[in-house]
Amino acid sequence: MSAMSPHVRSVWDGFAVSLRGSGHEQSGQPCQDTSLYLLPRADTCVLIVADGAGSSSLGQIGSAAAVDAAQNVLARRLLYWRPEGEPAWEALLLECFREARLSLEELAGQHHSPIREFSTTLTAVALCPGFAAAASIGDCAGVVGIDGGGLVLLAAPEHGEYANETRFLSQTRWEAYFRFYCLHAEATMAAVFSDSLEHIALCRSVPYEPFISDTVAFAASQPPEDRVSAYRTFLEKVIKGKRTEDDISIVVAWRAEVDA
Amino acid sequence: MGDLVDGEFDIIRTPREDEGLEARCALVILIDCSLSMDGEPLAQVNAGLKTLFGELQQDPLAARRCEAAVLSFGQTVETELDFTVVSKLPQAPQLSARGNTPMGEAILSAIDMVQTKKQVYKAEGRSYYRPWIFMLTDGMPTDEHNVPQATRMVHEGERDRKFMFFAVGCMEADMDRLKDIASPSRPPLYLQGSRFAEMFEWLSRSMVTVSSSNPGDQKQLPPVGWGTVSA
Repeated sequence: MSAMSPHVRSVWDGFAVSLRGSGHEQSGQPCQDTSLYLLPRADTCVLIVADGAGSSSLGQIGSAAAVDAAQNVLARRLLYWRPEGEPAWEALLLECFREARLSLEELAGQHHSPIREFSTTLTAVALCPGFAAAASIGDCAGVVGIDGGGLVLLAAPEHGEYANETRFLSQTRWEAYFRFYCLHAEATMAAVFSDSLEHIALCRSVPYEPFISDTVAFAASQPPEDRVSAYRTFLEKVIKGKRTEDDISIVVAWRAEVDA
Repeated sequence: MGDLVDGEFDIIRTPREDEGLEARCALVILIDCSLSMDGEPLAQVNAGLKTLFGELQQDPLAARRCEAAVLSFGQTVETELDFTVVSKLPQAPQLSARGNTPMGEAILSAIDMVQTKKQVYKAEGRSYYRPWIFMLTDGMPTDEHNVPQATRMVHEGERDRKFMFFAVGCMEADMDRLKDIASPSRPPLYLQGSRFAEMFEWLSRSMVTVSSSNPGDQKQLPPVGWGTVSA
């Protein structure tokens, strides 16, 4: 980590935003994304985005349930314990995805609907001292900033052969599509975002540093209570109408210095 | 970082348009230009192509994403328009009638074009939609030696989701032959009367729909009001 005054300490800060896409506004569909910034313990933060499928009638319920289930696992497990090393983190994140999948199955039973009606992707990135872990099914992406500079695409978006295809947690073989990533490095920031931001946040599969760093700098400059609304306004005015009709989600975390 | 300018965020640096690779939706249109299409039918096809490309150019997303080619088959198979992004298309091609109906060769050429195009997209790192091949004919193939291979490749391509093959018959088209050539999962359509304009408008709306679809967002194509599925 960078040298720091003894009078300040570094803590995680962050926020999450989901916006209804212009296409969904026109068709009267709700925002089908769910996003979450979570600080289950002081030294560990988690960023989650679930992108409900537009072709599923209840994709927004599916994405909310998946994030809620994953959050419950993380909050419960990380309260008194932090995984050490790759196998422990992979097991924890897989447990999150299993619980999220179970929540979709329960919803399908409650609504007497096929599970595909609750189709959603799910991507989670966890940052702790010296280690970053990510798990994903689908086409959301996770980028991590490393101490000393540089952005790494930790969780790459998974597309099918065609641009309107991806994997979903609701698919029968979801476990085969589960992907785990990790990085032994000190993370200073991270962003997880839906595919609708891919053309802005990634450039030829490489994190587009100006957008990511400006987003963090902008959010960090806002008072916490205004952060979400300010960034939402930015997205609405600048990005949303530009090239996407789809819902937009982004979760950002960064190290902030506060008085010791 | 972004600043507040007159109450609006002057944020933030995003990739230049030409730095991002726009997804592409390849469309190959095959038009029967045998002599039986001469006169009013081809005049309507030419007008329909103009409408198609004009309407696609009106839709900003479709204009950037749709990359169209036009092949004619009449005595020979000719590339009237090689793959061109619709937003950069100066004008629709004008087709004229000639000779017989080498439909099999035309289908094989179209399949080869979309497969080659997909390789280009992959090499560029560009995402793409499932390509469309859209064929209009008023007759039956006269190059019988090419038809078995063309039929097999259409069926395999549809089965393996390599492309979508739409066959439309008009006037005196041999719908039984078209039914054999088209995939069982996507049977041929018979164009009612002279509803060429409606057919091309449908094609335009379909391309707009497809090119705006997102992952998991398998949108329904517009209803086909201009044609019937052959029994």
